[in-house]
Amino acid sequence: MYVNEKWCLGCHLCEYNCAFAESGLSDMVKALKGRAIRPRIRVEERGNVHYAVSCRHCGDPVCVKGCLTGALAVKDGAVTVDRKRCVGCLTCVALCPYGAISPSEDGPMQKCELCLETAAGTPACAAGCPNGAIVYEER
Amino acid sequence: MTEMKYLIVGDSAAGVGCIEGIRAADRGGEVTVVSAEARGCYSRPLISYRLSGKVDDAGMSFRGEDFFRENGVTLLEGREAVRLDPEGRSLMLKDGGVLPYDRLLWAAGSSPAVPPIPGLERVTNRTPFHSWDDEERLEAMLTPGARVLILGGGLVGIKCAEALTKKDVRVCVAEGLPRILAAVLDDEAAAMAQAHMERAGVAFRVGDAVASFDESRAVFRSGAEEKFGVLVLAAGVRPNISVLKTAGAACSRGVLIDAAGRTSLPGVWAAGDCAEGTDCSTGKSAVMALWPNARLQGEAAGRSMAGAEAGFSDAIPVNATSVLGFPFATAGAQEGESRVLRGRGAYKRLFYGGGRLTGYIMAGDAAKAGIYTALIRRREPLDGLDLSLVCAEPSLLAFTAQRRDELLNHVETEAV
Repeated sequence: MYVNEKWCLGCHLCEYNCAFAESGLSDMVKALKGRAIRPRIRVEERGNVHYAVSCRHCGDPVCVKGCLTGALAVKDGAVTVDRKRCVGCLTCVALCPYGAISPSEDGPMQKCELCLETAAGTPACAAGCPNGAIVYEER
Repeated sequence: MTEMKYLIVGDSAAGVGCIEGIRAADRGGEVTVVSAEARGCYSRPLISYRLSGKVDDAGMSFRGEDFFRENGVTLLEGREAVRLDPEGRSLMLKDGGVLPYDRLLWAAGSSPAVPPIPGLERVTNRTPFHSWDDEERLEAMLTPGARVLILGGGLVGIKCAEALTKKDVRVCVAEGLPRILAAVLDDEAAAMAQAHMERAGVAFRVGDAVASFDESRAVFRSGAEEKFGVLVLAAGVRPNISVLKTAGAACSRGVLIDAAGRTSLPGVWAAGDCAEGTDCSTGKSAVMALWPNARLQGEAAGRSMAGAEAGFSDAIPVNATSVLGFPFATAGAQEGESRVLRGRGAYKRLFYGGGRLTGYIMAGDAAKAGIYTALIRRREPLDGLDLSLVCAEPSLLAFTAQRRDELLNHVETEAV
């Protein structure tokens, strides 16, 4: 997953598509309306600068190495979190250079898992990005 | 070519990191692990979560049961190393066994310190809180309504206190230093953490050291007394280095290592709680007895032992946890110039010097702390960054657009 800041409109659609994909529901309004969303991708912005940040699935991920429980692991190139094993110790939060891991509503850490469990093919953020600022491709 | 014989003493974070490091470079060598404990490889920091009931026995293991078999490792458990012959390249065990090696990793960890307080030996219901065995011992000592006194308000004592709030006991933490979590937090952050825990029912006696014990009573320097049914010793740890020291390895508080984990003895590496290396945030030599550090040091040592290029030159202390829902994270040095920001129940202090961020404390909110950690670890020059943005919140906004493009739009191979 790559982000090209030049193409980002700052529309935050990626955040909504992420939260929707994660909800597992089929109706976006039902899934998101009236809720504070906790997306795994976040747009950082200031003035005219905006871009989305999510897990980079580093080749040598320090979060996985620092994980106390083994909840974080690399599976087929994606950094995944096993919610049952995570105790919420925050070690990964203090290690991730992108700020891309955060506690979920009920405690265990959440992060981008490339929609491996939720959508087929392209992660929802990249699929829904109207200006091609987020792309999912092999480099 | 005959296969290399690797011997690893210790099967915790550093030992496992070493196995992974060796296997990344050498699939064929013979790897043997000796462990004094007989619990398999489990995550020591999880004992407080086991005590609170959050983690079960299966959850204690941080690499699956098959880890050793899959990596072709012979595990010798419940066997203690007592003497090292660096010339003859062999390790003597307490039970008389002798293990030859070509390359050895000493990752024997640390042991709980026993403070020299008069009367401590008269306390029968006492235990350290360092191992799975200790955790089970403590659990067995607890009776409904019991008063538990925890000696030591560092991370171990505080996590133990947190777990005990889930039990039907009364908990008091005694810390002789002027604040809890003294090695990790400053006065203001520590006071926030303490107040949070007090609201959850944990009592504290801080800045008042225990002068003496009798069987169920602690008498403090101030004259105050605290009765207890169970005493938990959480007054720090000592690196397990006596075997290496006797064998002639250069030691300070821990056994001294270079960035690749080499000790002063040929063929001997060290990693984890027993090792002392350079903290890149201060440039000083330090024992950084922390889980991620042990894991990374172990891996660098493993690669180096297998003859691959290796180095872990950006070691810094990183601490993060949440206590009863109060999060905090710290990294690097806590010295030099600093800037403080407060707001929305959170406290943040950033330390800087020499044109770089050198350390931070975040308390009450630890979100995205890793961005600061990376700035310290990568020694990112602050002159390319907007300092007020760096302070306001950890985000990539502080970087130049070009640097952000490197970070977000290129293949990320090496995060460490």
